[in-house]
Amino acid sequence: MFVEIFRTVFEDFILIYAISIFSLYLWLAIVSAIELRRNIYEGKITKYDAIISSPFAPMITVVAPAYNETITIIENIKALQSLYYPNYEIVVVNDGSKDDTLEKTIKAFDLEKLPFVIDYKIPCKEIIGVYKSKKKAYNNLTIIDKLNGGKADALNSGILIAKGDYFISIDVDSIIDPYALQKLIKPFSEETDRKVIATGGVIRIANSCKIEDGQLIEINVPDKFLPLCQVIEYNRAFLMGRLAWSRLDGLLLISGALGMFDKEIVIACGGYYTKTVGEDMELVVRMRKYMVKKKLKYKVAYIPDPLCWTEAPSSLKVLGSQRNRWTRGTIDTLFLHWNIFFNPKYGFMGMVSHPFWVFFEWLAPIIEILGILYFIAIAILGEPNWPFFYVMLFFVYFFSITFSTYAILFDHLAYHRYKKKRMIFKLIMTAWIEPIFFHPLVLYWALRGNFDYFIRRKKAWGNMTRVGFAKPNI
Amino acid sequence: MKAVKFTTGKLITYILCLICAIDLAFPIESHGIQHFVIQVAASKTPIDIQQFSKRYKITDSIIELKTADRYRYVIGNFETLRAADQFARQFAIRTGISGIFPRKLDENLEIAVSEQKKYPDKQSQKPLVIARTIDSIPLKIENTKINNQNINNGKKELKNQRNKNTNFIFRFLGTNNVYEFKNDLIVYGNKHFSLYFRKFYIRIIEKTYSYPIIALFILLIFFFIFNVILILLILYFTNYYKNKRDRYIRIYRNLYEEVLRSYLFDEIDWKKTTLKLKKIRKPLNRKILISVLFNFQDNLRGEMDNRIPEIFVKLELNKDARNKAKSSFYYNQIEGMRELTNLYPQGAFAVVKHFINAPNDLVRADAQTSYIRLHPDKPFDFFKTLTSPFTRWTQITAFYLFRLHELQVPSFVDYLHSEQTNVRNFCLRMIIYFQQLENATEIFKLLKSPVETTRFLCIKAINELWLFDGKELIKNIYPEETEKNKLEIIKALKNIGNADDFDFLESIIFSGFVTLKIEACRSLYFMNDESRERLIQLRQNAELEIDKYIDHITDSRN
Repeated sequence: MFVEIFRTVFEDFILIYAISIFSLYLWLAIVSAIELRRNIYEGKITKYDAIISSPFAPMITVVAPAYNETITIIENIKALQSLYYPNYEIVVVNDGSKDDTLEKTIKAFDLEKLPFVIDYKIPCKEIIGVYKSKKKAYNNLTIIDKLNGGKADALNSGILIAKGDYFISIDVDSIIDPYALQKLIKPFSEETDRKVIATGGVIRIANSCKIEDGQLIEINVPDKFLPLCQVIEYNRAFLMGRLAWSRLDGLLLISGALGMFDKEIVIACGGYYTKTVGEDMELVVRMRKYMVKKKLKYKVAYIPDPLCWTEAPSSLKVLGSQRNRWTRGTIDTLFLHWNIFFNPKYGFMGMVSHPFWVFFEWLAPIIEILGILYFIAIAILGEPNWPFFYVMLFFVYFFSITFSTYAILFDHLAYHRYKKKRMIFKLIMTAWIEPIFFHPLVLYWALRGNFDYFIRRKKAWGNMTRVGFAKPNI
Repeated sequence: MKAVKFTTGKLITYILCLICAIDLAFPIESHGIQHFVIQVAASKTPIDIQQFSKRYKITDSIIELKTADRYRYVIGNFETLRAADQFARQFAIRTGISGIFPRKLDENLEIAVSEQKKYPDKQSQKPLVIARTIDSIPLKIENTKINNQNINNGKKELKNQRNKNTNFIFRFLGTNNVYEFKNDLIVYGNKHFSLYFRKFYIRIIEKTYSYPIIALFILLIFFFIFNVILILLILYFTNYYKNKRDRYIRIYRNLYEEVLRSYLFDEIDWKKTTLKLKKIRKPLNRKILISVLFNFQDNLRGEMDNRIPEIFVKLELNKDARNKAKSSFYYNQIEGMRELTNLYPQGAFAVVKHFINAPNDLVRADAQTSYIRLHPDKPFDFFKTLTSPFTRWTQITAFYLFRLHELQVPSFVDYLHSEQTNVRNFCLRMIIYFQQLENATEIFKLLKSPVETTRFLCIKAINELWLFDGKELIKNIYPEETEKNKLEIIKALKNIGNADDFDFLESIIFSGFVTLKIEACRSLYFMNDESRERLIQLRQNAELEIDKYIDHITDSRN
C-alpha cells in the first residue's frame, strides 16, 4: 500500500516537474526572442560616436584579478589598453602570485611603487604595494600587489583603489571586445526612473580563435568536443535564459568574466563576499536586496552582445572542477539569501527568480538522478511501460535538440559571428550529441558539487589550469 | 590523444551509462498486465446476461464489470490488440452485434472507440448504450461467470491489476469531471456545428480521449523534428540570402553613387539621372538611395547642403520618410525622423515636435537630438516644454551634436529651473564646461535641491568656476551632505579657500575618515604657501601620519 502510494506520488511529481521545467524553459525562450529582437533593432539605431569623444563619459575602472598569469599577462594588459572608451583606468590585482607575474609586468610597463593611502572601506587582505608607470602612455594603468585572498578579495582591493564611478570585473585572460565599455555603460546612462546597479554581457568561447596581441582576429568554433559543447551551452544560457530574466527583472547572475557595477552601491553592500566560490552571483543578489531594503527602484541590465571571449576548459578534470565550483557557488548563494525565497517583499526576485534557481537549477540534477534511479529500479522489477518510456526519452531528447538549435539560430541571426557554413554545421551536430555525452557529465559534476558542498563541506576554488590562447599562424 | 584517467567517479558514470544502454537495447519483458477483452454491451443498469446471450446466440462466457458509471459486458481474453480486434470483427459478423470493440484492461492505454449505437432493450424498454470511453478507469469484477480456462486466466489477470487509477489527469481532475467535459464538448458540437463538420469534430474528441497521452508526446516529437528541420533550412538560406542581398546592395549602391555624384557635379541633368537610376521604386533600393544620400551629406559640404535635400524630395523619399515617422513601430519612427532631420529639415519640424515627449525612450531621445539639429539658434528650447526625462545618454549625444555642428552656445541659466532634474543637471554641466560665470546666483539656489547629483554639480560649478561667493554656502551644507558631495566641497576649497578655512580642513583631517582626509590634505597642501605650512606643522602629531598623506597627494599620478 505504502509502496503504491509512494510510486504514485513520486511518478506524478516527476511528471509535474518535467512539465514545469519544459514549460518554463519554453517561456524563457519566447521572452528571450522578444527581447533579442528589441536589442537587435536598438543596436541598429544606436550610435556610439558621441560617447567615444565625450568629456562627460562616466569614468570606468576595469578591475582584473591576476593569479599566476605570467604566460599572458602582458598581452592581456595591452589588449585592455586598446578599449574604445575615452575615460577609463585599468587596475590589475596581483593576488599573491607564486610566479613572476608582477616582476614581468613591472618590467614591461616601467612601473614603480607609489606611496599610496588606502581607505579600507571594504575588507580585503593586506595590500603590499600600488604600482604605476613612469611613462605617460600607461597613465591609466595601476597594478596592486597584495597577499593572496582569492578572486573576490582581489576584486575588493581593486574597488578600493578605483577612481571610476563604475567598475568592471573581468578575468585578466579574457578578451574584452573593444566596444564593451561603451555598450555596458549605456544602460547606466539611459535609465531615469530606476537606478541601474549592474550590467552583464554575453561571454563567448575563444578556444581555437585566432588571437594576436590580445585582439580577436578570427573567430572559429572550437576543435575539441568539450569546448564545443560549452559553446552550445553558453548560447542557450545567455541567449535563451539570461536575456529573458533581464527583461523580467529577475536576473540573479552576472558572469564574473564580465560585469559592470555601480561602485558606490557595491561598497555600500560591503563588496564581494570572500567566503564563497560563487561571489559573482552572491554580489548581485546582495545588491538587489540592498536596494529593496533602501526602498530604491533599481534595475539589473543585460547586453546580449558578445562582449567577452574566454578560454573554456578543454579537459574533463578542469571542466569538472569548474562545474563543481559553479554548483557549490549556486548553493551557497541560494542558502546565504534564503530569506528571499518566496518572499513577496523582494518582488519578482523573491517570488520567481530565487525559487526558480532553487527548483530548476539547484535541484534539477538531483531530481534527474532520482528519476533515472527510480526508472532503473522499476525496469529491473519488470514493471515499466516501455512504449511510454521510449516516447518520453525521445521527447526529452528532441526538446533539448530543438532548444539548442534555436539558440544557434538566435545567435546566427543576431550576431552572425560564425560565418562559415561548416561552423554552423559543426555546432548543430554537437547539439545532437551533447545531450547524450555531455549532459551526463554535467549531471555528474553537479551531483558531485552537491556532495562536496553538503557532505565534504568543500569551500575552495580548485585549480583552473590555463593554456593561454592559440598563437596566430604566421 | 591523451590517455584518460579513470577516476572512481568517471567509472561509476560510465557503468551507469552502460547499464542504461543495455536496458534500452534489451528491455526486460514487462510483466505488467496487458490483456484485451471485447466489450459487447454497456448499460447504466445491470442486464440479464443469459437473455442477452440467448438473443444474440453468444456461446462465449460474458463477464460483467462494474465501472463508475456503467455496467460493462466483456468476453474473451487476448494478449494483443490485433488478436482482439480480429475476434471482434468475426464476432460482430457471427452475432450481428455492431459497435463492439476491443479494450485493454491495463491502465493508461486508450483504444479507438466505435461510433455510438443505441440498442433498445425490447424487454426493459431501456436503451442499451454501448458506451465509448477512455479505457483507463478502474474495473471491478462483480460477476464471475467463468467457464473456460481463458476466462479464468483473464479473471486472474483482472484481479491482479492495479486497482487504482494511475492516470494523472483523471486523478487530478476527477473521472466524472473529465467525462462531463467530454460530454459538454459533444453537446456543444451537436448544437452549433454543421453535420459535415460535426463528424470531424466528434472524431477529434474521441481520438483525444481514446488515445493515450503518449500520442500527444509523439506529436510533439514530430513537431520538434519539424522545428529542427525548419531551423536548418533557415540557417542555410539565411546565409545564402544574406550574401545575395549584400551583393545586390553593393551593386546598386555603386550605381547610385556614380549617378548621383554625376548629377551633383552637374555632369548630367536630372532627366538623365532618373533614367540611369534603376529600380528606385523597390523598397530595398530606396533604402540604398537614402544611405547614399546620407553618405554624401557626411562627406560633401557647401553647395551640396541644398542639393542633397533637393534630390531627396525629387525622388519622393521624403514621403517615405514621413510615412515611416507615422508608423506605430518605434524603429520606423526613428528612421523616418532621422531621414527627415538630415535630408529634409523643413519636413522634420512638425514630426520632431510631436515626438519630443514620446513615451518610447528611444523615439524621444532621437526627437530631442533632432530638435537640436533643426534649431541651431535655440537648440535647447525644447527644455521649456519637456515633460519627459532627458537621459544622460541623450545629454552626451546632444552635446556631441552641439559641438559637431558648432552651434551657438545658449545661456543655460534660462533652463536651470526646468521641472526635469536631468535638464537642470545637464545645464549645470554645460555651465561648468562653457564657464558661464554670470549664472552664479542661480547656481547657488540649486544648492538646496533635494537631488544629490544636482547639489554635487552645483558644488562642482562653484569649484571649477571659482565662485568665491559660494564658499560659505557649501561649508554650511557640508555636515549634512553625502560623502561624494563632501569630497567635492573639500576639493572646492583648494581653489576658493583661504586662511579662514584652515580650521575647517584641519577638523576634517582629525575626523579620521581616510578619503576625506586625503582630499583635505590635498586642499591644504595646494591652496597656498601658508596652508602648506599649516599642513606640515600637523606632522608633529604622529597619529595623523601626515607624511604618508603628503607623499600620496604630491604624486601627480594619485
